[in-house]
Amino acid sequence: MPAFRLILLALASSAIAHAELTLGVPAIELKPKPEDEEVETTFKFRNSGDKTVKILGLESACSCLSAELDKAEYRPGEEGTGTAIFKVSTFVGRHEKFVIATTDDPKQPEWQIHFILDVPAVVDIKPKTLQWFIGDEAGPKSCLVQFTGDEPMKIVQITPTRENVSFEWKELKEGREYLITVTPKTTQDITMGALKIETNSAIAKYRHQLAFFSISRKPEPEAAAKP
Amino acid sequence: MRSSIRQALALLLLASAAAWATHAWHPRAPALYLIQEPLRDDEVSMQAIQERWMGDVLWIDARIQEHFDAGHVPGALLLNEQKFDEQLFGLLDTLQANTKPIIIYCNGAKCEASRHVLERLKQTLPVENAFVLKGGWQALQAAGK
Repeated sequence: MPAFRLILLALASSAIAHAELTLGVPAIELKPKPEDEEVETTFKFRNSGDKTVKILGLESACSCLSAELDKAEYRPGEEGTGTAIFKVSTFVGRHEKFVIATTDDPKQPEWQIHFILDVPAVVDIKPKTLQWFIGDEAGPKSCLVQFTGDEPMKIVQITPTRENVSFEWKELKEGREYLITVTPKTTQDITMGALKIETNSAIAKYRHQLAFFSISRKPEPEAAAKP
Repeated sequence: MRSSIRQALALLLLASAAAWATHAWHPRAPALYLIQEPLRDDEVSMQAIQERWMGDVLWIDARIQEHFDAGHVPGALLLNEQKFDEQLFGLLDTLQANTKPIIIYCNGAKCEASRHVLERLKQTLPVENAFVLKGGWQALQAAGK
């Protein structure tokens, strides 16, 4: 019987032991500069549990963010280092993203690594889309373009993709604010179009901006029935 | 008689302990609470796509360019978070003429890219009948797409 008790004790203690991967901070913050195409950071974490943990895989909720850990196994108390790369592309503003590490520990099968991406806005277009409904009066609507970066910019050209609209634009604050006004010729046909806005930005990715316009059917209440 | 019952109970206890330990130690032990998650409001399943629309939908691939190039649903359009405006610009004609339901997919059940693309698409253009595919690319592969 003592052997039986020992077996039970061993089983119970092993079931209680667990791994616990933890970050030293609530979230890893990434703050790229306006001109950055991608930003890389390293972060520290620890296995605060009392069991060795094996990392089985890493999956990012966003294809813009990838992460790697320096090892596949972490002993109890061991500190690890991770590397994360964020592809900035056209992201603007503050975004929360996650990378999920799957582990061999049933007590912590998934470890969620929390990232906060804070990308400064350099160009802000509000509203991004000018919208009319079929049968509406074909009146003018405007969007405001603001250049909020360190350096002022100028709009040098605007090109619409549809012939169904006319447009005009004026500078409200030199190098900082522009008002673009669009007027459809008719609102009889469904239309989805864009205005290609060309700027003189020194940063290539801000030289071409887009604002959209649409003429669509008025949505019926609860029109999009759930399958 | 009592002895037999004790032995049976001991065997049962040992078997239960062994099963419990296996579950605790096994690297790929399923969670005991694991059940089929219900569809979210903006989601559809592969089964629903077949039953409701006979698979005749407009597919949008919300993964990165490299994954799209490596394989995608035939006819799917690339529209991801990275180059949203630029890619959407190229899809305006297709979306303007489209009358089919739009189904957006990303890598798998844990990726949120398809949902973010759906949100941005709805914010930018008046699209109707647009949904996220539950399970994403993994579900498509399982369905042999």
